[in-house]
Amino acid sequence: MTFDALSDILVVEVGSGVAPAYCGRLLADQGARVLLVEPPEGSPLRREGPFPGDIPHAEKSGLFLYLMAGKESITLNLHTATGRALFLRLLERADVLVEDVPPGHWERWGLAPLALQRAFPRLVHLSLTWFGHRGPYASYQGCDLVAYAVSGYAYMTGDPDKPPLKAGGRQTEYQAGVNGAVAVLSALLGRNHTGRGQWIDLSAIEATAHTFDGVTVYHMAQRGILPLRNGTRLIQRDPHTAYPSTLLPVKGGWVHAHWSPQNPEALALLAHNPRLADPEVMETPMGHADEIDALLIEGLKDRTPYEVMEQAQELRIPFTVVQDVAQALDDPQNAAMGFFPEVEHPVAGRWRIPASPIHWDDAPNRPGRAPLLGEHNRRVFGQELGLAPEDLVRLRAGGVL
Amino acid sequence: MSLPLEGIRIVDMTIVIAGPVATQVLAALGAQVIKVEPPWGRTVGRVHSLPGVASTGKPYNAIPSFNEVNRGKWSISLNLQHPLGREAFLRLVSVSDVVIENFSPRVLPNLGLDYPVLRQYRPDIILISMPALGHTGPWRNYISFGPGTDALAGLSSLTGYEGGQPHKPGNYYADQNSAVHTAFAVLTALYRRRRTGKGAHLRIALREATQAVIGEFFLEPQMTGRIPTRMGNRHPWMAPHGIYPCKGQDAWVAIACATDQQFRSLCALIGRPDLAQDPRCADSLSRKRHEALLDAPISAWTRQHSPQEAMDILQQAGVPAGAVFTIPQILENDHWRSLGFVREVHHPEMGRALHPGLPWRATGLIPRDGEPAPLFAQHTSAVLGDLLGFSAETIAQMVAQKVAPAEPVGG
Repeated sequence: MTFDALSDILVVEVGSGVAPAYCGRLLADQGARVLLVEPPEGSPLRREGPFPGDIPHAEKSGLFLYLMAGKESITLNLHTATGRALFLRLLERADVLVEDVPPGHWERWGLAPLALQRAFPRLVHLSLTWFGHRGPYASYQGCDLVAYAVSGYAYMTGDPDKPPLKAGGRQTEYQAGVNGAVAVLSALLGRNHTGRGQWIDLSAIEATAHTFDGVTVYHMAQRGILPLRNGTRLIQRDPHTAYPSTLLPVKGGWVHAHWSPQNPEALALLAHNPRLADPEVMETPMGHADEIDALLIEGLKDRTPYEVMEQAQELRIPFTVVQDVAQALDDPQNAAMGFFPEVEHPVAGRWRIPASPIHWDDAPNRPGRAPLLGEHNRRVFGQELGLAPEDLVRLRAGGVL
Repeated sequence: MSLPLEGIRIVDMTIVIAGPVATQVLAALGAQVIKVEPPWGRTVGRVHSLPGVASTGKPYNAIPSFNEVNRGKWSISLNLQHPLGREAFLRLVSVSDVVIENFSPRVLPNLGLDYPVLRQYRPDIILISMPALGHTGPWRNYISFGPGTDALAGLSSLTGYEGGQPHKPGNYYADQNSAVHTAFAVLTALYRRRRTGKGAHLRIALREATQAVIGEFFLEPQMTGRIPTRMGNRHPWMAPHGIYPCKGQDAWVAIACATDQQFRSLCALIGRPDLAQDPRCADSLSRKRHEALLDAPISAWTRQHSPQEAMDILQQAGVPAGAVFTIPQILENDHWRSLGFVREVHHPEMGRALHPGLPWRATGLIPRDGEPAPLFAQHTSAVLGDLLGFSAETIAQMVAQKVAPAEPVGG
């Protein structure tokens, strides 16, 4: 897809995790040219599944096909001096560098972030780390679970009588990636005013802890209330808090049950039980949470999740179905929005790859395809950096490309 | 030092969380964000009050969740169904760069304020809509808050204890996640407009933003025929990978080993070097198969330490570990303080409060993220008079007739 929003931007992406990959995917979807710099053996994400038929293959990782859609791939060994010299030549042309190199490594390579800023004053350099580039934990090792714990999220998620619970997937990495994309665009707009780039130091723990705004978590904490995990209910336990907002079992599945701001009495109609509109309940709904759950479960038990959603929505109550990913992949709403278009890949074949959640009125929303390992070496190093074909052969033999 | 969005004006019609968080990020980057609030006030139903919040007789100015996500913005209130209110709104659009709303897809057309109308007043306007499920399709008019879109997206089905029921991924994860995607979309549209002169209408569906952050899971049923499900705190291939009990009440530490070396370090530290030799644990494939074996020996060690101690000792031995912090602990913690993550904000009616600032640092960037949320209709005369040129008499009339009410109409 060539789209004009960011089509004058060249992004160089160096990374081993999901955070820079997702940031790069967001930029590629908006038309930026994203050069993925892979080590000669390939990005570590190529080794992560899912794989077709569970057979690992460097060109068939589902994670890689999704996150690298629309990018170009070059190989470069940054552990060699020649590799780093070529990398610096790339940075001369780049607008944006996105990386998740751990703090300290750049310095060992002679590429300290502030030195890079001096050498390339227009460069927007996004450093994505678990803990940030400064502070007592800067050198600590992280992963999604660790960042989830340190950011305060784990403590508030799960059942009160069980250990804290991680959200599914790799949410702290995605949060770092999408916040990084915001920071990059902010810096590109700022560069229009100042002519200067920025070095951006963004940690997964901060990106994740930022997600508590509006949930009154910080307010509660400052007033001596510890926000506690509360099962699938909200953490606010004040009896006057609106309720329900929880997951409930129905026939053959689960629904997300939510009260209706417009029409709080509609629950009684949906579940055929007037007690759900009783003023005694309505005044302190969270205080009646157990009773409300029991009445809804009893009243809805003969209906499927989709029947409950449809009837609730007719009453303007925001109930939804708890779908598994296969159900979401094939639901009629995603089909109408075109969110899972088929993308052809020369080695991996045809797969339905998630599109962008950002829909323009005047541009298509279709992901490109993921690159083969080193697919664009000839174009980038040969045509653009001017290396001769025999140089490329030599660099490949020397383990640089 | 100028901020990246200095000179950009945003008309913010959004309510609840997702939209306001998006515009709050843009305000921190220098945009002037003017909230156009409905005349009936700020709540979607019930006012959530918290103990310790002083009552000023104006509870609508002391709603914690509102004040958390509208920092650094301006506020006016307009009845868009009144001709004068509509005129004021369209005049505001004509001097603005972005209009953002998160109503259901029917609302703006019903008000006669859809994109073609707005373009007549500002040809390069950027309109941002945040429908819950999308702007087309059979479920487009379904209403949902963030957590309900996580359910439809599949994230709730992936969150939960092993073998247990589906769970919520935190309280309002979908709202926050779609908010950040929306802030990115606004910045991209501004960048594009600067290059091409073109405005646009962008729609960001909350449900799709959640699907985007679990994108790889949609490849799994296609590639393997399996439907991915809940695995608690476990990981597809790392082991051990879990949250373990510490000394103290409801105290926990997360530990994850990606490499054999990390596992050997962990075994040495917990006084069980034999485990590293055990063929059931020696390599990551075997460890994953027998991971339940590891819970008891690891817990026996973690129970002797506080979460912070366990984290420090493990990390110093090269084992990835993280204390399960509570928010009060984060606010007191040296690392978090050194990041400068928290801002102190003084709100005229709620007093001092700590809030997260922008979650990154950048050379030369001093974000404007320490200002409080506006009081209801606080900027009526600044916007209607100074900015839009309505006379003092007209403004007084609009306030009196509740076209631009000074306090919420009908309580």
